[in-house]
Formats: sequence, structure tokens, C-alpha cells
Amino acid sequence: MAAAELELWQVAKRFQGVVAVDSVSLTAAAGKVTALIGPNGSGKTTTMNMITGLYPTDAGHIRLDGVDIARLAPHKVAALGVARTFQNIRLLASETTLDNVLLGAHRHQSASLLDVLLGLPAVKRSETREKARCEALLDLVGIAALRDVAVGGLSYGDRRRVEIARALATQPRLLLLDEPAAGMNFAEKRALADLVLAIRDMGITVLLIEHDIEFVARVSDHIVVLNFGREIAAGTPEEVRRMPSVIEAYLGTEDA
Amino acid sequence: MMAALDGFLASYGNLVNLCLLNTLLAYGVWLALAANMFTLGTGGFMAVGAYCSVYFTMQLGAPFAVAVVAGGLLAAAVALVIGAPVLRLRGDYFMLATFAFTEVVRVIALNWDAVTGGAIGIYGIPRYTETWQLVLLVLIALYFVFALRRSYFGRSIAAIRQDDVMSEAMGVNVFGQRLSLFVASGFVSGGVGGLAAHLNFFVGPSDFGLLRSVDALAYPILGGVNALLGPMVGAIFTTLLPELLRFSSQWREILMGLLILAVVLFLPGGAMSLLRWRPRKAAARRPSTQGAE
Repeated sequence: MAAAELELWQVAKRFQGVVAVDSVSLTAAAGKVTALIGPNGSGKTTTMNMITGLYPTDAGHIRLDGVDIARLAPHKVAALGVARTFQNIRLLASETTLDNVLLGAHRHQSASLLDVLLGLPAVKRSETREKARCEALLDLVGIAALRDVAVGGLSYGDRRRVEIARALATQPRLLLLDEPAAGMNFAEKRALADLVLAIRDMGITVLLIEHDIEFVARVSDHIVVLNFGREIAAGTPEEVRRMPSVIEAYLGTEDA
Repeated sequence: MMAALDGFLASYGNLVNLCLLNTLLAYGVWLALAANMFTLGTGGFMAVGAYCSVYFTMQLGAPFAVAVVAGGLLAAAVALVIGAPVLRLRGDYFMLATFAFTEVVRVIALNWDAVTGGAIGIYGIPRYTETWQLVLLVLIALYFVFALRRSYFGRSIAAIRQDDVMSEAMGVNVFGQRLSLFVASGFVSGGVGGLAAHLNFFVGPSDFGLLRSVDALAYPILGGVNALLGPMVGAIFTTLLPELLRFSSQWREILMGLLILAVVLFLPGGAMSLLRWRPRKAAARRPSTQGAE
């Protein structure tokens, strides 16, 4: 399973006349970390929702390793190896960490409904296999000790980790992280940066949305800057940092 | 011992049968409710199953078991046809659409004299349904729901109930699973319709209307959707309550309404959540962290 390349070409989205994404073109290179940054309302999350099939696109192409995925239902996009986390953390609060992560393993369960109703041994084998895989992922993201705790009681940072583990349980080729560092303290952010780099080294393409520039500069190979639904700049962290258009988008012009 | 059982069934046989029948129906509705489908189509599916199975036994002379299965299958087929458009609707609109379906079935039953006997209904249906058959079917239903709940299908169904957008993004075919559950619910409801028809000697267009659908929906909600035995507890409770309140015919319906209101207000997880009082209190002490919409 190799890392996938994601290519967006002139993708657009309007909500009842309001332009959320005007025209975005970008490439997330295979096996690299690409960051999508920009002020609030610049269309970052809308772009991510279009990639995962949650919103249909109004124009443009979204290609995963050359295959157009813009018209696919979200579960079909997931089946092609695209996983995501949510900006507003969407976990099943009353269920345990392990059960939440196991939902990500859903598409790898091989037992049929008939197997389940007949209680065949294949069901147990498949369940045991996925459980072991998910436990290894809890270990990877550093929350193995919390496997039997209801996620509703976890800290903000830990819940973000559960989301990442759940996304990894789908065995993605492309992982989308929507503001993974939001609400984390300094130490948690450093640990998260190491985790993102470890995920990249596992052969997974990462596309992340993040406001923390320090964090972005630390993990990203490539940065794309959005403003008013268009990409206004792209390059390595060093290049982007010096671009006048980026400084203007974030800080405004002097006479503004 | 056997004599005591016979004596009990002689006096309360009808009530026992009704409890069993409603339990079966409650699990049929649970299948839909488990994935957040508040269906009011149950009455419609029961009617389809009832008329179909009666047609099979009385007109075609088919064996009882074949007739009941045929009724279930026809109801499942109808569920498949209306499921595709109806499942695209959310919440209230889904309820309205399934209610409309039940009404359409009722109107058809009222007017299709050749098959349904029109407003008069069909009298003199042979009584084939027996208590042991109902017990067996309830046990089978219990096992199926038990096996489903503890499997990974149970996990994805619970996820759909709580957050279908997230489930879809995690690779769960939400529409496919909902449609399957809706069809399965239709099958069970249709089968129960056939069993009911062959228990009561009679079917008429007013037997399976809105009231029947609301009652059926109340069983698993009152008992608890999250507990295996919840639908059964809800069905038996709701069936027995009017009998227990027989001492006062005037207060009966008022008390019934008040009790249901009390369960909904004070036990939002259904009656079965009484058994899990402690863990719930412990969970409440932790910081509240419901995932935002």
C-alpha cells in the first residue's frame, strides 16, 4: 500500500450564492506532508469536505493517483484510502477508546452478515485481528493506557489522538488532519509533530489544516496558503514565510 | 406443573400471545430505530403482511408457515421500494413519509374489496398461530439481535445512530446499512402482521393504522434502545399496563399516558437504563464532552 498523490484542479464550491471556495488548485505530493493554511473563512475546511466527498464540488477535478473522486460518496472515498479527522472532534462519547478506533477498522472486517448470525469462527478471527491492529495504533499515538475508558472523559488532546488513531485504523493512503493541534499545549504539540512525521514515514500522504505556524513549519514539506477561496501562495515553509502576499493576508496591508 | 401452566394459559393465553406478538414487533421496530429511523411505517408493513398471508392460506390453501413468510417477504419488498426515496429524508420528514405510507396502505385496504374485503375486512380466518410458535420466534429474534449487536455491524449501526456523517467518512456505507435495516424491519413487521391475522380470526383496515405504528415505536423507546432486552420489556410493559389498570376504566388511559410521560422524562435511555444507574452517574461526574455537530 503506497502513499497516494492528491491533486485538486480549479475546485469550486458555492453555498446559495456565497462563494466558499472560488478556485483552488493544489497538489499533495505522495509521502509528503502538505499544509493548507489561511485566515478563518478562507475555505480550508470546505476544501477538505470536498476531498472526502461530504460536499459535492461545483467545478474542477479532485484526483487521487489520477482517479477522479469528486463525485464519489464519502464511504467510497474512504474505501479508496482517504481518512480524516474533524475540526470539532466527532467521537462516540459514551464508548471506549478502543471501540471508537475499531469503527475505523470497519471496512477491513471480512465476516458477512450471515457469518455473524450463524456465529462462525471467521467472525471472531476477523474481530481479533482488527482489535490487535487497533491496539497497536493506540500504542503508536500514545494512548494505549486509555483503551477501556469512555472517550467522553478524555482530555482534549487525547481525544484528538483517538481521532487520529481511528483514521489510521482505516489504513489510509492519504490522511487529512483538520486543525490537529488546536487546543493543545506546547508539549502536546511537540509530541503531535513527531506523530505526524512518524505517520508520513509510514508511507502515508498527509494534508493538514492548521493555524499554528510554528507547528506547520515544523512538520510540512510544502505549504499552500488560501485566502478568499483561492490559493495565493505555495512553497516550502521558508519560501512562504517571506512572501508579501502571505504577510498581507495574515496581517493586512499597512494602510488597511 | 403442566396443569398449572395449562390453567394459566386458559385464563391469560390471549394476553400471553399478545405480549409475545408485540415483543416480536418491538424487535422489528428496533432494527429501524437502532439506526435512528423513527419509522411510522410499521402499521403499513403489518397490513401488507397480514392481507398477503391471509390470501395465501384462505385463497391459495398454502401452509401457514409459507403464508407468514410470504407476508414478510412482500412487506420487505415494499420496504425496499419505498426505502430508496424515503431514506433520503431526515428526522421529521422521514416520520411523515412513513406515516403517509401507512395511510396509503390503509386506504388501499379500504377499497380493494376483492382481496381485503374492503371496510368490512376478512372474517373467519383460521386460527393457526400458537403460543409455542411465538415463543420460538421471539427466541430467534433475541438471538439475532444479540449476535448483530455484538458484531462489528452492531458497532457501525450504533455509530450511524449517533453520528452518520462521521460514520460515512470512516467508510461505513450508511445508506446501504439503513436500507438493509429498514427492509429487515419491514420483513419482521409483515411477518407479525400475518401472525396477528391468524390469531384474531379477523383483519380489517383499521387494525394497522397510525395508532398501531406509534404503539410499536413506543415499545423499544420505553424499554430502551441500547439494551438487548429493552424492546421486550417495553412491549410487555405497554401490553400489560392497560390490563393492570383495569380497576378503573376512566383513569386507565390517563394513567397510561402519565406513566409513558414519566419514563420519557426521567429515563431517557428507556426503562432498562434503571439497571445501569451507577455507571451513568459515574459518567455524569466526568467533564461533559458531547461531540459538537
